[in-house]
Amino acid sequence: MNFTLLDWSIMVIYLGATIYIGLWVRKYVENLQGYIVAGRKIKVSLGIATFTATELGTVTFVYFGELGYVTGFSAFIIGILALMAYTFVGRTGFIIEKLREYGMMTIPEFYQLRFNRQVRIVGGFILFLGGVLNMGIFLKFDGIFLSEVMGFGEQAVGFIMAFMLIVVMSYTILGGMFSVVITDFMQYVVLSIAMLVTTIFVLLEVDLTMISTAVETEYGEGGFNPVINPRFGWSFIIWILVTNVASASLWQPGTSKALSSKSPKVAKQVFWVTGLTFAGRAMIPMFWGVAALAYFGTGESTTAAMPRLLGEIVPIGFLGLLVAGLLAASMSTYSSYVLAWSSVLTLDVISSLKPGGYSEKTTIWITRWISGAIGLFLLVFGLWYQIPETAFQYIFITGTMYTAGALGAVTAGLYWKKANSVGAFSALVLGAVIPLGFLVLESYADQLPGWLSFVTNVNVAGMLSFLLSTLGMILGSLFTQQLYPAKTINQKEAAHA
Amino acid sequence: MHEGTIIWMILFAAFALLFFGIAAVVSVRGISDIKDLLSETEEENSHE
Repeated sequence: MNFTLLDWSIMVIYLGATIYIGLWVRKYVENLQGYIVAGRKIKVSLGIATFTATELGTVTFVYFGELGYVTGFSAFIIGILALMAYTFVGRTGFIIEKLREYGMMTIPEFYQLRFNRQVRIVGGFILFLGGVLNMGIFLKFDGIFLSEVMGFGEQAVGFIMAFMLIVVMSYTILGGMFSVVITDFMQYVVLSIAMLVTTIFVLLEVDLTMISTAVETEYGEGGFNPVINPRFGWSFIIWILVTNVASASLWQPGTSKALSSKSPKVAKQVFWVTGLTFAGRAMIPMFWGVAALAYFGTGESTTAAMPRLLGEIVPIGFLGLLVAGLLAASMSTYSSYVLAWSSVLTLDVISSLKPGGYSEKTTIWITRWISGAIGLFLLVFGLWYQIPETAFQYIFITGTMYTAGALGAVTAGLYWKKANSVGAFSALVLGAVIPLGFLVLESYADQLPGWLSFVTNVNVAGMLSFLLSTLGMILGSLFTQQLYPAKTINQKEAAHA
Repeated sequence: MHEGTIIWMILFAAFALLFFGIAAVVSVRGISDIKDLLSETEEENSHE
């Protein structure tokens, strides 16, 4: 066991402070807008902290660390692609500026404004499904990471993670976005310090020449050049760039931070500055993963190698800080994700199915119950699901299930006058089909006929879903213009949304 | 040392510094943003 009394003390104090503050701010929630988007009063620095904390979970360290371990320096290209995508959205305000202007609380809300209620319900359901599946493996990977760092068996850590989930659920359910942003800020500070300290220890303990030799020996030129690395190549680079643009502008947990901003201008600033940190966000854990390759060689479990390295080289006291940072990372991600997906299911599916919707009080009540149900699902799903290929690919393919269709539907809805409900419906469904096919068929890849094998290639499946979704929007809209004329956005309706 | 290592490590250093630099500034300024958020909300809630 790597953990000592000092490490435990740091972790317990940190958890206690988080619970106290998370529950204390619930008194500020007085209506639905306060609960879902913190009354739209978030300024730039707080927006950056909460956005970064949301997008940095323990699972992020696991999948980026794993990629560093299995592909070497080539993986770093993913950080640069993320930086390009998020700063592009921040500079141009692509999608997020308009959604904030229209006063949306969720993305599917826009489908009703621009298309119709049915598109909102379908879009909301696909977003919820993709989002919850995406989140389904978080707990499992958190367990692996913490067990290796702390030196416990996985069962004990499973208990700790379940406890942590209860803590997060309690303040998220009660305090909504207010609790999320304020605890996110604390978590961002703790996490940043933990990342800095850990990087310093990795640099001190693992020699750079040793790292360089290990990458060259194990992966050759492919360890440095992502274009010739067998796991990457141009199709992967294009898919990840497009997915990052789609996620930056349309991934509800992140976009909700833009929708919670004080103004469209603040939303753009938050995305621009946060985008600048995204290369570091990816490269730091990837570097730890590459260092694990040099330290242990290739014989380790790919997901466990990097956390095992940290467990060995980070000294007592700092290990407590690192675990507090990791718990911070997980808690901020869980809270934002759970709130995002429960809001989507409540507002865009359940309330939309009832003519006139529900009262604000009932809507908050339903959101809280769904948040609890999502927490329960995470515990159950995380235990039995076997992850296909690497964690990174699972995360991106489940994300693509929603973002591929949403990119087509929202982009065309905002910037193309002829986009209609049939096009939007086609884009959403076609964008989800191939990723869903991948998740179901990947385990049976050997038994599939040759012509269907493309579905089990994650890079091809990812790219195809974006292409099909775009085609669905264009052809669906053009062929049905007379039967289903495109609806224009009613500014009054937008103002009252 | 492989030249690929040198290039990627220079980029790593630049982006890691950017990450931690922004974190330092945001950690300081974020506190006043939280104060504003809570005081504005409290004021608004007391008017309702």
